[in-house]
Amino acid sequence: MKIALAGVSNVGKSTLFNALTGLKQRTVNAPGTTVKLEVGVWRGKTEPHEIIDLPGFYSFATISLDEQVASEALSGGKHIDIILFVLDATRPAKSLYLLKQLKFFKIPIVVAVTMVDILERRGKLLDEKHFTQTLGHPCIFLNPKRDTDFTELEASLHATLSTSDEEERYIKKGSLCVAADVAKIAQKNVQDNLDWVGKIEQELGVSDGRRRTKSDILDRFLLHPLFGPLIFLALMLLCFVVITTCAAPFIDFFGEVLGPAVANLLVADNPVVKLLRDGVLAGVITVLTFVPTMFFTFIFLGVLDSCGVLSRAAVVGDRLMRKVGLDGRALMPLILGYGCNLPAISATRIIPESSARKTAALLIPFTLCSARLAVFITIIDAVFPESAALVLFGLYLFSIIIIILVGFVLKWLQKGKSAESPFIVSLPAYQVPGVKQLLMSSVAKVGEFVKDASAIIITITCVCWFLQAVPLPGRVSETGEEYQFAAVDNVHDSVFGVAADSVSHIFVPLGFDNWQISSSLISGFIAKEAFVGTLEQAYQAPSTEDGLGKLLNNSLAETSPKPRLAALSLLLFILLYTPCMATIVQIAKEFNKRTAATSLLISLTTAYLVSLLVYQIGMLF
Amino acid sequence: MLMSKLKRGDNFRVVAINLADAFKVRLAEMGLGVGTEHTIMQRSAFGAKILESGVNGNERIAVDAFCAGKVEVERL
Repeated sequence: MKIALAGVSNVGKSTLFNALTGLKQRTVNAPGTTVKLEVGVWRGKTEPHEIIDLPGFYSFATISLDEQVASEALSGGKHIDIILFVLDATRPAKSLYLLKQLKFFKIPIVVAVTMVDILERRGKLLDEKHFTQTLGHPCIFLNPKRDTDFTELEASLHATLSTSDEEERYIKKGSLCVAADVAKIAQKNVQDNLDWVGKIEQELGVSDGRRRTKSDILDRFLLHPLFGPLIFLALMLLCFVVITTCAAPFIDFFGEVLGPAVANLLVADNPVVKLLRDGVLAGVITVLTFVPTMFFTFIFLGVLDSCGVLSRAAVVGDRLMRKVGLDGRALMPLILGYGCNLPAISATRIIPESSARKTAALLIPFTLCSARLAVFITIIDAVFPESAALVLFGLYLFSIIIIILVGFVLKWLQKGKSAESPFIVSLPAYQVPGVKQLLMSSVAKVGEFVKDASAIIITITCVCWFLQAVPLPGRVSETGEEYQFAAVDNVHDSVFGVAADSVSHIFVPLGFDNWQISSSLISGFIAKEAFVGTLEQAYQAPSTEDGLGKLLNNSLAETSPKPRLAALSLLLFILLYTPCMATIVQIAKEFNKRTAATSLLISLTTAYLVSLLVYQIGMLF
Repeated sequence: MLMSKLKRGDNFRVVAINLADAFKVRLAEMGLGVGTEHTIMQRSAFGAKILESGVNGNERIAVDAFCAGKVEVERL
């Protein structure tokens, strides 16, 4: 059975999807778009069922691409056997309105009614049979956060499908409707549908009338014109701190305990073992170090989303983010980017509108992630020891300024495509999130990342290792012996060194045309964590009496008459160029290869132009 | 007057909506059509408004300052 999980936003649809599919879920892009669809397998009692979790939408009179995808999936639903419609019993009007439109297609529908427990606590006695009779579709009361047995739901789906007349279905009549037709019909019938909703809502007996709820009281604080933004800012910073703090011990374990421990087992001096240690293992550890941050990010975003807090964040931050073509919800991924860009890219999933999601993904690489911070500290300590804090603060500030400027440019480029549109959102009631579903969903998402990203990351680290292993003809080691494959002590004598040499010429106008710095920039493209290591390796810093800082200062003094200006140019280049290949891989996965290429182009161009301007203008004075 | 001028607790009726048809339809679908009556539940940051809406008044919808500036209302 192929089931479409449909409903408006924030009714518990994703919680039900997680409860039904567990770890058997993945994210795909809707054909020809960057709209995300969650696809999963529900291992029912009788057989496995495929479930598509459609984007939440209000109506077939769509106003965004995401709504259009959901609309098209249902209106052209020849691949869908049955619709599992999720209805929030506490605020049913918007759900009923969509249900009324769905009736038009004559696709079998089973209604999962959620939040019934909240109404029961308010003293309302609800009855499944009464719901079924009133709505004209089988209704099952569910609590996706708590329920584990969905036998009744499965039986109802089977029964409904078996009794439906395929020939009667609108889409099987040879008049497969297109979304545009459906939208026209939806626009015409607004008042009729609203009248029906009002009547049904009364009959269901769920309406509380115009009473003040606990959510209204909480909103007095969270949506307050002054305190609201401050509370959300504090909440986001708290998330940022907690995620990085929780992830740190695991990252340290992978990077400093597990990695070296496995490397110590691979000590044999032959190329295959070296490839395994310095190529494959290095790639695996790189992937593993991203896992904890990704996991905790998914957990936190899941909590905020299922609580109903993210919808409020969108309201509070919307006007501000609109200035740069974003949705209010983009604040969260952007702040997360200051911890690590990779989960921040995944976190853009919380932005419902796909063009805003894409803009956010293109801006995230300009956030100053913690891996860049380590690089900055090394360079700033070496070149600006007396004003380290000021320079670092300046870089954070510059990162924010660049995000705003690039955001303005991206918005200006898209101006022809979209006029200013109003922001209208339905606010769900606050609720407690389901812990088990959140854990399952986060594990599934992290598993998906590991599966998709590890192959390419490991391949790139292996290619880098290979380039460093191939010696240049005629080059000899310090002992005067000709280098063997995979035994090149000095990186400059390898093919990688030639590449770094070639690349360094590009940086002449930026003031740091030095092969050691270039090789670190190449490594830094793979992962910023590798930057300092490569710099030390290239300078052979551990084996010299001079520290890395002095060697770097000497190099900058050789390449530029104003070494501190060259260092500033280098810092800005590191801040703005591609954060790491994993981020690019993730952008390609979340969106498409074209968006990943666009991100690469924007990052590299911005980094080069900004460094060029700063250095060349600085040289005039 | 415009919805953007209303304060918390104000009751109002929608008189006209000066937005593109698609958004007029969306507002109407969310219960904010011409002739409907609502209460401002909350004023939020950057001019956003939280309204009591829905056929039975138990829905909450948020509109931004741009939208609030395009909806003509009369205070009740």
